[in-house]
Parts: sequence; C-alpha cells; structure tokens
Amino acid sequence: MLMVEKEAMTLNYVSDWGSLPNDLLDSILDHLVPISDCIRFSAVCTHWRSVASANFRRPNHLHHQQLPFLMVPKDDSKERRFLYRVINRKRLGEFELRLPRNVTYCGSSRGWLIIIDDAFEVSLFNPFSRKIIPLPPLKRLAFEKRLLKEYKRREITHEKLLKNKGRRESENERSKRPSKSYYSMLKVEDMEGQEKESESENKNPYYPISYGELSRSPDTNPDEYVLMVLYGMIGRLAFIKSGDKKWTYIDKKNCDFEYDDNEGLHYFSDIVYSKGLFFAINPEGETLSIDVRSGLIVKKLTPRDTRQPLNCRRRTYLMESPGEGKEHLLRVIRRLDKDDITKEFKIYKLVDCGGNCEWTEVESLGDVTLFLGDNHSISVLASTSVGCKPNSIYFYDDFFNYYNFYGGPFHFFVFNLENRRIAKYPILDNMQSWLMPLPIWIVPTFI
Amino acid sequence: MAFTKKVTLKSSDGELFIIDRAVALQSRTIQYVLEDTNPVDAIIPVPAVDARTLSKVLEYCKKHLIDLNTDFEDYSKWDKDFVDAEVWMLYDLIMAADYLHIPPLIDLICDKIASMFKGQTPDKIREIFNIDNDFSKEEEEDFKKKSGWAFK
Repeated sequence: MLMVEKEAMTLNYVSDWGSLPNDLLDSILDHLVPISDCIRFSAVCTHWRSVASANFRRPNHLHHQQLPFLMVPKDDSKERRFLYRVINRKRLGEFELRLPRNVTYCGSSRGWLIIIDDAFEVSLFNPFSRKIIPLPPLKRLAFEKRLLKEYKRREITHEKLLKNKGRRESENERSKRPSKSYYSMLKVEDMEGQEKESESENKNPYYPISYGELSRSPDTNPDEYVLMVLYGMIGRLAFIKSGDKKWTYIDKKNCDFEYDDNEGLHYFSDIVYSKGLFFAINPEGETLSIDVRSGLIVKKLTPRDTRQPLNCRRRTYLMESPGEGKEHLLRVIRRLDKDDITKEFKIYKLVDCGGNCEWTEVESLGDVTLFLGDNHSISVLASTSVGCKPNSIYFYDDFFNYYNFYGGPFHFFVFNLENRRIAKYPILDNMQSWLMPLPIWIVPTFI
Repeated sequence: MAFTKKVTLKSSDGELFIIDRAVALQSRTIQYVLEDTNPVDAIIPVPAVDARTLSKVLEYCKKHLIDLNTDFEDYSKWDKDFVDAEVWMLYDLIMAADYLHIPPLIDLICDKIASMFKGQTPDKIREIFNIDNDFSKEEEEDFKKKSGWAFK
C-alpha cells in the first residue's frame, strides 16, 4: 500500500529540464568546455539560449580554454572558408565571408578577424556573429602606397596568366618567375625616404597588417578594448582604443630609454597582450613592453641579441604562456631550411632576474600546447583541452616561397618537443591557387 | 544552551529522517533554519523534496562529512557512481540540492549533466531530457546559418 502511494507521489513530479532555474543552467554551462557544445546547448530551447547568451557576456568567461580552429580558404574562392579542427583532423562547417568591399583578412584575435581594405581602412569582423566594427584608416608611407600599387598590378597579371594557361604551369614558365619572395628582394625606404635594403625576416605575401592583437573581446568589453597592430612594410606599431577617432603611432619619442637605432621603431616580428600590457619583439630578440592604459609608456625588457646573425630562414614569435605563472611570455624561434621547410623550434621563457629580464631557453613546454601562425598564434593548457597533445607546437604551411608555389597538398604539422620530431597531416589535397589567402587560427566566440 | 546532536527532517511525502546535526549542516538552507530558530527536538519540514530524493541527498551529505581517513580518490569514484543515475533522478536531485543549497552536490550534478551533452546534437539533447523545441522555423534557420559549424 505504501509502495503504491510512493509511486503515485513521484509521478506527480514531472522533470522540467526546459525551465531549469538560470543559476543551475549557468553552472552546467561552466562545465561545458568546447564552445561547440555550448552552442549546441543554446540551440535546445529558447530559455536555455537566453541563459547561454547572458553567460557568455560575462567578462570572466574562459576564452583561453577554447581550442582554435584553422580557418582555411576553400579551393579557388577568396571568400569561402571552412573551419578545420586540427586535434581530430575534422573539417567543419563552410562559410562565406561575403564582405562588401575588397578586403584583406590579416589575422584574428579573440574570435575577431582584423581586416583592411585598399584605402587602408581597418575593421574588426566577427565571422560567427557577422558583426563589423569599422575603425579609422592607418597612415601609409609614400613608398608603401607606391609598392602596393605595383604589387596589385603584378597580382592581377599573374592571376590572368594562371587563368589563361590553366592552373598547372610548365617547368619552363615556372623558371621565368623570380626565385625569391618578391618583397624580400625589394629595396624599401625608411621614414626619411632613403632607400635601404630590407632586413626583415622572410615574410609571406604582403599583408598590410601582419598581426593584430586585442586586449579584450569587443563582445564582452565593447567600451574598453585596445587593438594593437603590427603593420606596413617595415613592421611598425600602432594602436587604437575603442571609441578613438584616430590611431596612435608608436615611435622613438614614446620610449622611456635612449633608442640606440637611429632608424626608428620598426621591423617588429610579433606582438602579444598579456597581463595588462602589450609586448613587441623584433627578430634580434629585443623585447619592449607597451603600456597604453594611461598615456603611452614604452620600456625595453631585453636588449638585442647580437650573438645570432640575422637570418631570413627563421621566424620569431612572441606568445603568452597560459596559466598563472610569473614567467608568462614565450619567444619561439622557428628555423627553416633553404626550401622553406620547417626544421626546428627553439623556445625561450622571459625570466626576470632582479629587474633585468632575459630570454632563457627551455627544453620543454610541459602541459602547454602552441598553435603557431603567421598572423595569429594561440597557447593553451593541454590538460584542459581534450585531444590536444601537450608539449607540442601545431603549425601549418604558412611559409612557402610565394612565387614558386603552385598547387600541391596543404598540410598542418605537429612538432613534439619531447622527441623533437615533426608529424605531417594533409588538410587539402590541392591548394588550387598561389593567390590563396593564408589560413588563420581563430578561437570561435559565442553569438 | 541546549545543543541538539540530532535533527529530524520531514520530506514532502511525510517521511521522517533523523540524522546527525553535522550531516544536516551541509545544507545551507537547513543551517539557516537551525541558526535562526534553534528548534529543540523540532521537526524541520522539507516541503520541496520527496523521501526518495531526500534519502539520496542525505546519503551524499553523510559521505561528504569531513572524514580525515578518506582521501580524494575515494570521493571521486564514489561521486561518479552516485550520479550514475536516470535522467529523472538527476532532475530531482539537482532541484533538491538547489532547494537545500548544497553547492558541492550542485556542482557534481552539473558536471554530470554537462558530460551528457558532450558531442550531442540539440535534437538528441531534447530527446534525452524531454524538452520541447520552442524555436520558430525562422529562428532555427538563422541559427543554423550562423553557427552551422558547431553542428557537424
């Protein structure tokens, strides 16, 4: 009798997951790590969706736990991309970028693409929500304008050539092309207009902005983000705060130290934002900290390392090490052979020895995984990301000899620091056009 | 001041549970009741929780009473088995844990539910948790277009 009564009682309780209280749904969301799971969560019903949207607007949302996707151009279309998840080698949804003007996608930061048009007008574009934030144009040096025109002209000529003769060219025609990357051959002028040999590291096809770094996401902090860019042909720095009417250009006069180079502040290789400050590095390992919080203070952290001769066959990356450690900056040097094949990586940690900072080589990344790219790099803790190999560097074919590159498979690679070996995996069987834009690592944001 | 070592809880369906005060104190709701009124030998009603769920919640509270002889590993195994339950049971448990305000239990169940979502499509989640799809056709189309990549 008692049993029957109990049965009847429980039947009165009908589970109503759809209207679970907000704070419980929030707690569940806090346990969902991959953003794709969160998005599927928000597609279940309207109530869950409203809770998820609010949850993702919280500033403390753990974006750094999300693994980046590689946004790869699809075949010969400049506008179509697909997302590729390297950890399980899975090709995900395709999408059309469809922006009205002829723009270049220069990289990503916190889920936003940094784009620039022919008039050097910059915008932030979120391909997931399709939101656009227009920003003022960047100033160009006279020689940059001239060279850009020349570059466009050559690009069009080559495009026509490819169309007329088919995608595969004969060996004979190939040999007619310049063997060196176009821009590494160019003589550039410095700020005063004098011609000098470019000594920057071997770079890919010309991108007006090499790197863009956001201090915060415009999704969560629409009124307090800063965008720092490394731009132009001689790698200069400029930044803009949300709401600013124009860019602030960083120059010698902003430094709190005597800048020993009379050429000015340029030829930087990478920038990163970490713990309230921006940091910039040049190929010689000189590191600056840039504080834009009130005014502009540029400090030198490490001097030039003159022991290593400048070498085209390497690239320098500056990254934030995930976690709470004091040594939060990483310098990664990627070495290539004469055919632009990546041979090795060297990793350095910025160590503070009583006021003097120093790059100290480390043998292992421990639990850290790096995703390196020529336009954006990301670091994550492998233990919080399922399927991610610790102590490894994921990178892709972003470093090919521009004018000699035709078709052929497109790969991503994993460098394992433990055995110092590189594994190679195909993404596309055939990269159709040498004009294909570079893939970009991007961390998806929630809409 | 008289200090009751035992506390009596009464479930929504009238069953009485006589438990150690220390066990009951893991529920912040009951803690507040005890601090406010200090009922000597009184019965504390728990109107939102039925006997079956309450006994399960109390089982958790007894286990998680700080026991210096049990290490962390033991807890994680025990916890995993504890939430290895039917979906309706998890619902009753999470609502009870929320009402009684037992944060570690809420956290444990949320983690379990999140693990059930992993890699599932919205359709499958709706099926498992018996939720109605209340999106309009347009809303669904729009969402698919914007976030289609997350569904593959």
